Amino acid sequence: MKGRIQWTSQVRRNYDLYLLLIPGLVFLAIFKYTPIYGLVIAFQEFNIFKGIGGSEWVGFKQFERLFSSDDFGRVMTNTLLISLYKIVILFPIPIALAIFLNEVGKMWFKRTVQTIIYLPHFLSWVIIAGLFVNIMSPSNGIVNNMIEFFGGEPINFFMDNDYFRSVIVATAGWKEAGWNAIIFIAAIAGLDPELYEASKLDGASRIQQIFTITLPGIASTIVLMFILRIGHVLEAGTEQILLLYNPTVYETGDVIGTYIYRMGLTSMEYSFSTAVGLFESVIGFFLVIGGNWMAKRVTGKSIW
Amino acid sequence: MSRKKGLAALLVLLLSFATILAACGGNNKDAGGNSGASPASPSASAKAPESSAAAPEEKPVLKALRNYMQDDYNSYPVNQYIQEKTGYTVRNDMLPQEKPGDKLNLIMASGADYDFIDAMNTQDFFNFAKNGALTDLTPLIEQFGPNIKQALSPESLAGATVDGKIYGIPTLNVSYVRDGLLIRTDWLDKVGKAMPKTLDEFVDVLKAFKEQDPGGNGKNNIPFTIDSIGLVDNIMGAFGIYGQWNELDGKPVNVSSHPALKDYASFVRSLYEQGLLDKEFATNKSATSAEKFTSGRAGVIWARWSSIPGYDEAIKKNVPDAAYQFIPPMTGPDGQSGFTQIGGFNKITFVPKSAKHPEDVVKMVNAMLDPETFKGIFVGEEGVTYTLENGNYMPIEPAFFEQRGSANNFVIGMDEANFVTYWQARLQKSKAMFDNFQLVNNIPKEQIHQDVLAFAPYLPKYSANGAKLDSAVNDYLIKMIVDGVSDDSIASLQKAWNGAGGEEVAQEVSVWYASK
Amino acid sequence: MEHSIKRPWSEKIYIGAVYVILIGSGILCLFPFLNVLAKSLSANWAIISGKVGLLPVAFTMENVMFVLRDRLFQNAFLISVFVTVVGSLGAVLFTAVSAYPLSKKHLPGIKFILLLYIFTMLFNGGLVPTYLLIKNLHLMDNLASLILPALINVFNLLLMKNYYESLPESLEESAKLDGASNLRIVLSIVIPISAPVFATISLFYAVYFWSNWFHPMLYLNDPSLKPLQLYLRDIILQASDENLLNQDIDALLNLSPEGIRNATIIVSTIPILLVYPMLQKYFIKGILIGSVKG
Repeated sequence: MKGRIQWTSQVRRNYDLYLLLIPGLVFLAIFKYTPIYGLVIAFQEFNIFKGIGGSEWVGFKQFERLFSSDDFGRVMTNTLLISLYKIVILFPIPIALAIFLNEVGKMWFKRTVQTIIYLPHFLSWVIIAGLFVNIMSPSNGIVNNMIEFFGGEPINFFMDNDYFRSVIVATAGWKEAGWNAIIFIAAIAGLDPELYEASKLDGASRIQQIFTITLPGIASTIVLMFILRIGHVLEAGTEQILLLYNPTVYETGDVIGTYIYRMGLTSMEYSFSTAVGLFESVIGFFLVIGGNWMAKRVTGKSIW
Repeated sequence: MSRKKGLAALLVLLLSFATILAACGGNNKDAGGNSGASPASPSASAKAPESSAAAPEEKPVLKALRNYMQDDYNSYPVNQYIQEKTGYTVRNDMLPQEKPGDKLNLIMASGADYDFIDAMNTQDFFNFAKNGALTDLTPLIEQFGPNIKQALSPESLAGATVDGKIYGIPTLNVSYVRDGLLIRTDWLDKVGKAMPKTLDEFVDVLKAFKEQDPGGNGKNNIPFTIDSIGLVDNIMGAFGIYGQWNELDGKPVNVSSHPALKDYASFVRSLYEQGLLDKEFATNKSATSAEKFTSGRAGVIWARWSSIPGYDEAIKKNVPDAAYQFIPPMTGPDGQSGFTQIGGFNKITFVPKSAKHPEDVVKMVNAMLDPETFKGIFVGEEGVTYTLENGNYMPIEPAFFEQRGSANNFVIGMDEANFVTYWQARLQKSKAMFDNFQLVNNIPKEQIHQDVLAFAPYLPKYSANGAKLDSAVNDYLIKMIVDGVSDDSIASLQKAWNGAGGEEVAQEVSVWYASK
Repeated sequence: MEHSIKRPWSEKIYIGAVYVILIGSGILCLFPFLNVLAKSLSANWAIISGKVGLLPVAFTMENVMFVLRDRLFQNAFLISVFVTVVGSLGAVLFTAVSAYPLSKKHLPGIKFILLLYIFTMLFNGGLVPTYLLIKNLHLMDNLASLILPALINVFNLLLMKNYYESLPESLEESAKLDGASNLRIVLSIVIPISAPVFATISLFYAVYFWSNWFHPMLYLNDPSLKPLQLYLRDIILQASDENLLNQDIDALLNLSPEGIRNATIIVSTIPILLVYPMLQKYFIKGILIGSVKG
């Protein structure tokens, strides 16, 4: 009884806050939840001319088609490996970049570097792929020229299964690190400068300040970004890999996205592509929920 | 009080933003639709509606959905020309460059208000016809289409016929050999070799290119470069392979089960092993191989003649006395040789069931296929865009390429007796291109092998799986060339091909072929 | 004594390392852009034969001028500017307003609504139903089809919510004691000290609206409504290997030269690159929090 009174009085006292929710909820209802019925075509043999009502129901056939293909094991392993490497290796880099930029006193330098490192985000993989093939070419690419200069053997990065995943991770990091740093730069900008002043008076070094002020201060942003990142673990970078791989490295580089693309399953195979998407979403959803729960336990921060 | 006001104001602001936006956008569109053309082409659009309104017999503005091209359809000179000659104003929308079939499918399934639509992929067209989404044009062509019946051969019209009804107007492609191997003839001279006539001589030449380094490239010397492809024209012809589908003993056989596949793959593999074939070819984009050739580092390149104008300028700048040409068909171990000729329909133009003016579409197409009008659409006017020299149509630059360079996107159906002659004017853009076109196309008939599936009717299995099967063959071949060819690797190619739906496709294709 | 000498030394090394890392990353990131820029200013033959590195070869302004003079380009440019400006303003407004109540997690029902949002980050109805929705709302061939469905990006919403949560509660508490309404607190206290996050999501929205080619490709058929990034994508993909294999020769004969392709990339990317430097002054540490508190 008491809880209920509190509940209603809370709502009444903050009714204006609830009203502010309305535009967002209307938006969600129209643009996000109206089309969601489309997920059912994952369980159909959807014919666009007949619509959902007229299409045949096939249960889990589309999912079976995905799981039972010969290459599914290989493709799944590659997807998870590349994705995990990308998370483990690439997730901390933007945070480090933001912290380093925060150490820089000269404003012009800071701004220039910030602007430059986010440039690669704006060039599409179509353009960048060609550039990388050139600079990493074993015959006359600059990377291999350097390797040879230091007495090494040239490496055919894009045709060598030992190196291909590393190349994928490195190029992705190069392209997005500066862009992803923006969020952390902004988070650091939101910290209270008095905290730094106070700790300086306490005799803390700048390196100590990173661990006592900066990182705790942006922890909730880090947690948010991390949870959202692991929700996309099954998207290992389809567009990037499609443009960088070739048949000699399918063994290590072929991921779910590239596989279904090559099998011609992205064009007009509405049911199949919905099924694959649904599979990715369900896994992602559980990871996000689990991640949020873990984060709450370990760090005390969480999205909800 | 003030609290409520502020809140109300904020909500009203958000709401009005959304509605105004929707309304504005709507007006935008109406304005565009009424004037009959884009804001980008005000001059082109203004005259049409008023003038036709005054005419006694009012002709409707036809709304068309076209294939991607870089120029603006609505302000392109051909669109005006068609309006002058046929009296029909066409307002063109355009499909995207990327996966146009996907978008077309969505448009057709959700009810299109277009009067006519160009389908680049003929299989899409058949799919729409089967799903009852198209207007039967048979009676309209009978009544209003004498020129259509005159210009198009019965075979062509049969290609757009489903269950005895003509559902579209097919536009024929020029049939030609497109790809070949360009060789540096100045390198041949330097190493003292003649143009290779057999594969053995070819290997001999490549070895000389490798050892004697006629370009002076040192470690960057590449005797032979190709894109990331498995089937190399001219070489595969020497093994009796002419593309993905081949006619063997009167039956269509996919390359994956072609008896000569292993010998072919082993041959290319041996080139790779000996360092004669570019060791990075698997990672080559077409720009990469072009770079190697035009900078003077490669002696032989797999290329299509349409690339020649660009290559020509670049290589002459880098190596002023460079000379090159396509290698004529080389003979293989069993005396076979030849090229693959591609062809078929460029597009099929159809009228959706929901279209409002099917009769007018047929009337317009009929007027466009009047021989003189067709010529005007396709090559323009003598003395303005072209001149006639010994029966050859020579373009006047730059007028021809500015006014008629994209004319092929506008034509609906070809004047099949004449269009190949007209079309060659496009090749005269570059003498090097024209000469090399002749080199691979003016060869004995028995060396030209038509693509088996060029004029295939609706083959649902093939249409769903064909592209994937082709790329599977390509992928496995590339892997074999790099890693080695064995009975096992050939078997795994066949297994993968069958597993990807190849068996069903092969059956479908042979049933159709037998019934031909 | 020794102790106090040592500390600055280790700090100097640390700061030195920071500069080296930042300069190194800067050089790595600048290289490809300079390459595209150099190509846009070079003659076609030099690009084809791979002669262009970081500096133009056979310098020419022709490519850039050709693109700038192209009517289709100009039209696409204006469309993009319109969509980006209107879209970003609307989206920032919608997101900022919707995120504030979500930051009050203790209020009943808020967590549920938050989950409703997060659910849509992972699940969506897919291509066909979304297309039909836009069609049924009569937004086809209408620029609103690019803006309305993008008014709230859940990721940006969460960023915003996260930032609101991080604000010291004392700020709002004291205002509440003075009898200010929630709305008043948002407008007069929260928004003014939220410059960094506003700058961030403005940037994200602007970049989203500018770069979006997929929805224009689906929802616009009228070529005169085509925004810049779709125009650019069409031109770039023309020369992609997949297209070269599939296209008919007439289209290949009309391919635009490399120099023009690169010039198109440059002139359609530079405008959006300028947004970040413009917003950077709001990324300066604590500038506003400090002032409000002081």
